[in-house]
Amino acid sequence: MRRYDVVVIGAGPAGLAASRKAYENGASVLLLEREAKLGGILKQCIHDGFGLWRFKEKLSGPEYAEREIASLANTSVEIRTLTYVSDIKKNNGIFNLTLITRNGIEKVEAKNIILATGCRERTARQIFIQGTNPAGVFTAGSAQYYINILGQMPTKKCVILGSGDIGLIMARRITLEGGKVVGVYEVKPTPSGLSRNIAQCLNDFQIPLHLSHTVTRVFGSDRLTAVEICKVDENMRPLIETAEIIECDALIISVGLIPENEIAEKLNVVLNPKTKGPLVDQTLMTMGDNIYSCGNALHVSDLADFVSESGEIAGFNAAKKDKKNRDLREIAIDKHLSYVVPSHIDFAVPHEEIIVYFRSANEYENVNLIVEADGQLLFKKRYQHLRPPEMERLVLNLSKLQDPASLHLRIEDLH
Amino acid sequence: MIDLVKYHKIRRQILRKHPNLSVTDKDGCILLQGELDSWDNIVQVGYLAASLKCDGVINEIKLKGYQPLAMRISPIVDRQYDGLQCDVLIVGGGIIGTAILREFSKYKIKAVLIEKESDVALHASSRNDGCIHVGIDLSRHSLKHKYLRRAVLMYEDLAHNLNVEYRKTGQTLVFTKAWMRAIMPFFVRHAIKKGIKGTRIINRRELLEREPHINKEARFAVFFPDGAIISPYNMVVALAENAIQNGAQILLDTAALSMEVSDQRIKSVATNRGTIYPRVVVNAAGVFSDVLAKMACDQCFTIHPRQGVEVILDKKASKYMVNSSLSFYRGSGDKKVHTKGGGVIPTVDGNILVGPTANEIPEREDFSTSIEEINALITKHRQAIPNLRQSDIITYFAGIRAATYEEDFVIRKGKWTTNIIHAAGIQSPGLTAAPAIAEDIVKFYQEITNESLNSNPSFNPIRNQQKPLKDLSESERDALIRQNPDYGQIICRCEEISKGEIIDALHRPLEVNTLDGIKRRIRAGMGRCQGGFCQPLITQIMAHEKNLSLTDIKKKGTGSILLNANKEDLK
Amino acid sequence: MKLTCIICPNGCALEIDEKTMKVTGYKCSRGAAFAVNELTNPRRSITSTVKTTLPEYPVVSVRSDGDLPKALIGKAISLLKTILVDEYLPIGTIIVNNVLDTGVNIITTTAMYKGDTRI
Repeated sequence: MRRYDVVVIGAGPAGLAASRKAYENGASVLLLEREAKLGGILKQCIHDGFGLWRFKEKLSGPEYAEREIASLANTSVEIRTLTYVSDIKKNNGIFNLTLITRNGIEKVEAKNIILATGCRERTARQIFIQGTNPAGVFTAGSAQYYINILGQMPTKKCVILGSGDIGLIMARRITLEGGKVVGVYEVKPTPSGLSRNIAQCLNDFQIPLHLSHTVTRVFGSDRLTAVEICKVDENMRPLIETAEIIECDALIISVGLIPENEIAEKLNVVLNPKTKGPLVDQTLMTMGDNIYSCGNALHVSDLADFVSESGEIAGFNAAKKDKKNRDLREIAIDKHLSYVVPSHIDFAVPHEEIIVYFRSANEYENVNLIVEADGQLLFKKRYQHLRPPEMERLVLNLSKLQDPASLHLRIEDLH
Repeated sequence: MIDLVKYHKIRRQILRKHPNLSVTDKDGCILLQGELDSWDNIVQVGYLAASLKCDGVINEIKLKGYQPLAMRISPIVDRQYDGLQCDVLIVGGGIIGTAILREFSKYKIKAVLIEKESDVALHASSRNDGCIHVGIDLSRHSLKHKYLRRAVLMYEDLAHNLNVEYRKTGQTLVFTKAWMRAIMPFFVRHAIKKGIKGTRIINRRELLEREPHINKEARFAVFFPDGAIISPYNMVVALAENAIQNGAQILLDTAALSMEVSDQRIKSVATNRGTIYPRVVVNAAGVFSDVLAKMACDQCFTIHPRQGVEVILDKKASKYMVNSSLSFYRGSGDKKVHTKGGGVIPTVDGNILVGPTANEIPEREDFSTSIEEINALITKHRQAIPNLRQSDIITYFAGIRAATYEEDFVIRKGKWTTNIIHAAGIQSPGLTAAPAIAEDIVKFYQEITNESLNSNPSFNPIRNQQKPLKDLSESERDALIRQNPDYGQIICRCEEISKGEIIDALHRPLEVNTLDGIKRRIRAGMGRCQGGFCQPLITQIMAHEKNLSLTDIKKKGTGSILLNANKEDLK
Repeated sequence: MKLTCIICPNGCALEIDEKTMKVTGYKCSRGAAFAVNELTNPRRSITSTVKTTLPEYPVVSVRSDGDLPKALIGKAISLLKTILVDEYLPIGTIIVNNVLDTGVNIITTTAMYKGDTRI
């Protein structure tokens, strides 16, 4: 049975970057992918806007993926596609993986695991849409696959529920392919996707965005024939008296992404209920020794560029040979912040350049982000706008800190 | 024969409340006609009439201002089966129809089953909790009791032969009132006398050991060790496939539309796919069994649809794990509610099922759910399992019970028409009682035709069905993959289902031609992402295996095309 | 006029005075230029798919290698619907040169290989 220094699970942008970085740092790497092709979800994201930060170019998803795939060409990273991790256990500090492949069941061993398993879409059932169960209810991702990979349209006239980026992108895509998008309905009072997507996907095509609205019922026994829309109150509860029936043949759902962490749970890795991804320190090691997490499995990012960066951090650190005992401190956040990744700082390893991602809990204008240790101000940055859908990236230098008792991240209103 | 004194008393009661109705005696049945403006009232009048205990209640009272929807039929219209002759024609492909078909397939007889949907088990048979009941609350004089008692003796062997997973979880009836403990010995003795073997009382300590997550107010329970769970639609599919393997025929997308009846005999049955000429018709038409009976000029019962909603919780909700089918005793409170009140039930797939509710509705095919019912369900069953939470719900569905006003099965030969047999009015415990009912239907057939059937020499009671590969041992699974690499390619990653298993499911004795059909049989698409990742892949596999284009692939029946937009429809 | 800049992920909230053409709210010069263009000559890149005759690829993804005038997007998309790719092309192959005389090309964005499989 082969034993690798690092086994990376998932060959989307996070796993691809993690594999390369781990290899560059001297590790023997096995990269596992359950699909037939590498690249993860990027294969079907044919819109552009990828790589603006990482490559200073405006690429489509498949091109971005191809760059990352090509960078593995002259490495000794072993890549296996159509390989599914069905079980994983830790015995005496070594991970034993059970792989299902077309050649049979295989076992491999790893000293370190990098979880780059991405995320899945929230389903219609999870948001309690009632009524019938006809053909014509699609998550935005499946609709995207049908159109962009199979060249088939799943709708002539649709309603899109959720103003997350995928829903906005699909609003434009469906329109360009000749379908009619009646409108995008968002249960929150503010949009869930990037502002520039509201502009270039909805405004450009005069597709209306209805905030504080939701779909409550679906009609049609075989194929969807209509949906019922309701306005919602401040608690996002439908106001039945505002119910409106909209005739259409599809409901496209884009109501959130959920990190995929079944494997993490098999290893009893502690998850952050806010992100649904593992708690990690700045090396992206989870609370389970030598188990790393990166990409959308760690927390849902807005940009593939950030996903690649997190993959590189995980890969770089997973490849390190002698790891010291950790000296962890949790970063406490105030109620104005939704989450911060990493959730912990390990003071036993270098901490002068810590990449931090965070999301605000609400929309804020003119605020400071404050980092404090033991009540002392460490770092301050002014933000003109902070919106939950727009994840922020910071670089923190905590080298001056020796042994703080507490770390705090908070938002200070400048009004 | 109607008890005239009682008949007139009930007639007077009904007319006093609703003077504009008409109540007449139709050859031993009680016929109700007229119009009322509340469905509940129509149902109550029906119940009142049923208390007469005559040959049956025919309730034709209309709901004012309401026109019920027409029965849903496949849009396919052709003469594919025109002129088909058979000995027995079973109408309805649910648990009852397929159990009967399989029973007939043990004999040398031309048996045909017609099902109006695109797959078997699309109505109540796939919309129930899968419990094999012990029959706690059945009246000893009922047909429900009669058939259940016979069926429970044969069920485990049947499931074993058909390779359908049968899990004896036991049934637990929990009591919260300590004083009731005193009368339990009578309850237990009564249950044992009824034939429910092994019934015993469990004290609080043992109860909390067996069911650690239930409401701590539970004082004691009565445990019925023979209660079991199965996958109901897999049972129907298994019966159907075994019947076909043994020479029977199943025609899907085929609905009985009218019958030619003369000289008290059904001469032919007209369907959307041609006219069929059976010697005997078996009515297993579920919610439409009274409509079919009327078509055969033999309606002596009426179905009043009773909808029930059930909710399924995530496997990972182990906080609510129950180890047996659990319900809390709710007292004789509301006698008008004809349901045990539902419970919290484990499924063979490891999920938890909560429900069902019970609502009298006028529509026979209204499978829509509402948020109010789901909330009510959770609230009610939180009494049993306090940790029950909405956020663990992964899906929910509704089913319609085919309830008669007598609230019992209708298992009988025709009253007026000589060559019809009814296996109708089936509600809980229909899933359990089915194999026993099937035996009697075959018996009735022989009585009607005055012939005894010869055995089918090639009858094979075994239906082979591969267990899900993920449930096999590693060595078994590995061996299968080495024979067929498609078994090593995982398509549905939430449930770990391989390409090989999907292809196998597309080549079974009963044709599968919908995505939902695949889902029901092998669970691909039933996991946490609900097909988000695998549906497009399964769509491609299906198109490839069946030599169809992607735009032919349907989710459920005809009319549920997934990719429905051709270039001509778009600008 | 208020608008959101779509040049980079920042999505700055810009404001341009339609009379003076003065732009505020930008964090880089590209944003300032974007606002002026939006008023005078709005341009967009396009991304889409074109059909192929190849069994491995029902469609192949494409994009423009520059921005087109917004008004020509509809026509450009219609033009793409008439194209049929019949060779296995590497990423970046120009399949429409100088589309609608804009100086912008349409290039493929997915690498195509004979024998490629999706499932």
